[in-house]
Amino acid sequence: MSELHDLAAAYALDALDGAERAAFEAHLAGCPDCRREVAELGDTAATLAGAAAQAPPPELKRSIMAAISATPQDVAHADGSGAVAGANVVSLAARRRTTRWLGAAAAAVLAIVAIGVVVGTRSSGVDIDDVYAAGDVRIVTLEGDDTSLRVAWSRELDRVVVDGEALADPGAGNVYELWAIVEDVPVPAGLIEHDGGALSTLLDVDDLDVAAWGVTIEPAGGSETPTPPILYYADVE
Amino acid sequence: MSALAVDLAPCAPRARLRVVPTPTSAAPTMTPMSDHERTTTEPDPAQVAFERVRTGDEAAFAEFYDLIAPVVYGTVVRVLRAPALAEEVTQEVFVELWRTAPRFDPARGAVRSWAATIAHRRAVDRVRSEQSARNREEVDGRRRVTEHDEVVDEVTVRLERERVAAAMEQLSEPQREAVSLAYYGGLTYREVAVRLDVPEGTVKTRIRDGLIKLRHVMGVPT
Repeated sequence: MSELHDLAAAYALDALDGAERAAFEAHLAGCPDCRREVAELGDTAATLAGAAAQAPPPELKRSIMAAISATPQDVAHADGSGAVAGANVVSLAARRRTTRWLGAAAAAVLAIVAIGVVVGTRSSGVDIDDVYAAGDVRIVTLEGDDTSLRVAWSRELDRVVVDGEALADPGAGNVYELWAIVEDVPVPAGLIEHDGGALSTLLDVDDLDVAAWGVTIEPAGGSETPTPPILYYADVE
Repeated sequence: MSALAVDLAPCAPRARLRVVPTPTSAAPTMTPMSDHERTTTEPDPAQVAFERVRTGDEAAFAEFYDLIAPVVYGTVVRVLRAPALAEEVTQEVFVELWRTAPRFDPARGAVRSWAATIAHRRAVDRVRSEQSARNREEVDGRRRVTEHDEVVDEVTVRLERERVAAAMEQLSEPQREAVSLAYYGGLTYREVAVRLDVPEGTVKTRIRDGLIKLRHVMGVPT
């Protein structure tokens, strides 16, 4: 254990390999001396960046400004509790468009019927592999804070698969719910089973033109409109 | 005090920012690596611009970009030694800065330091995943600044470069060499030891002593 202390400077320079870095970060959690040293030396290391300063190509700025325009910012929580038990950090994909469709959901609820039903891993002759093998399959990664989910769907087969690992427990009496955002309105697309952190769920969905996918935590049985925070989200391009 | 542990791997478990818990704070607020206050008389314009970025102000982000891009891009291209790849990683850095801005705690430190830290970490992770071990031995860790277009660079960028270069001159040659190979070369301390044919413990000592000296010379506030 004492040997890890002398890694602080190397850590500050990013000069540890993956295994040592992980071990040292675990050590940091319990070592205020090392945290202090890393903080001080890390600031010093950051000044080394100044010696390499170089103007980037002008077109890079345009590309970056376009990218951030399409990127939702995380939302800070006032306290550290977060909404999901067991999650290290909770952040939201809050963005103008998302906020708008959260509001529109209430108005659309009468017109929307829950279209997704958890059917396990096989549904009317279609199983998860079939979806991935479908000719029109589209796969999107929904970014959460610590983890991500993968959504694969096939309009031909009217099926959606949600894959994920290391998913936090939604809590007793709660369930993850998938939303298909169609013309800015979130449509319930089904409930996602959480089984010790891993999940792989096959849902029946109608043939809808999905613009984005989102996942929230809802009370058991699901909801007809999403309850913030949106834990996972991705636009379909 | 808290330190920021950053685990970045662009292609694997996605980037996660984790504040190492302190006795007084369990909030998932991001902080840069030091909680020092800036001691200069006027605030860093990048810090001021970033305050507005935290509220989603894209125009402020454009200002912030102009101020911070040379340090980020320069660090990335220095470590990666591949301009096209450097542009890609630079974009990743700025997207991350934008995305996580609302969780940045300005009272705890400088965004400039924070940005440089992210940039260096991402560049190092990328270079290690992109290059084979054989190629990595060809890394040029010399302190010499890479060639660039003098006309394009602003005076402030050049001055900062020279300031750091001058500070590095205050280190002993072995310290400077070890720090350069690690920081600009993106080598692990073990790789530096192999490269210099010295024991690993010697490298760790040189790096630590070199950084402490640098900190003292540059007057980095505590």
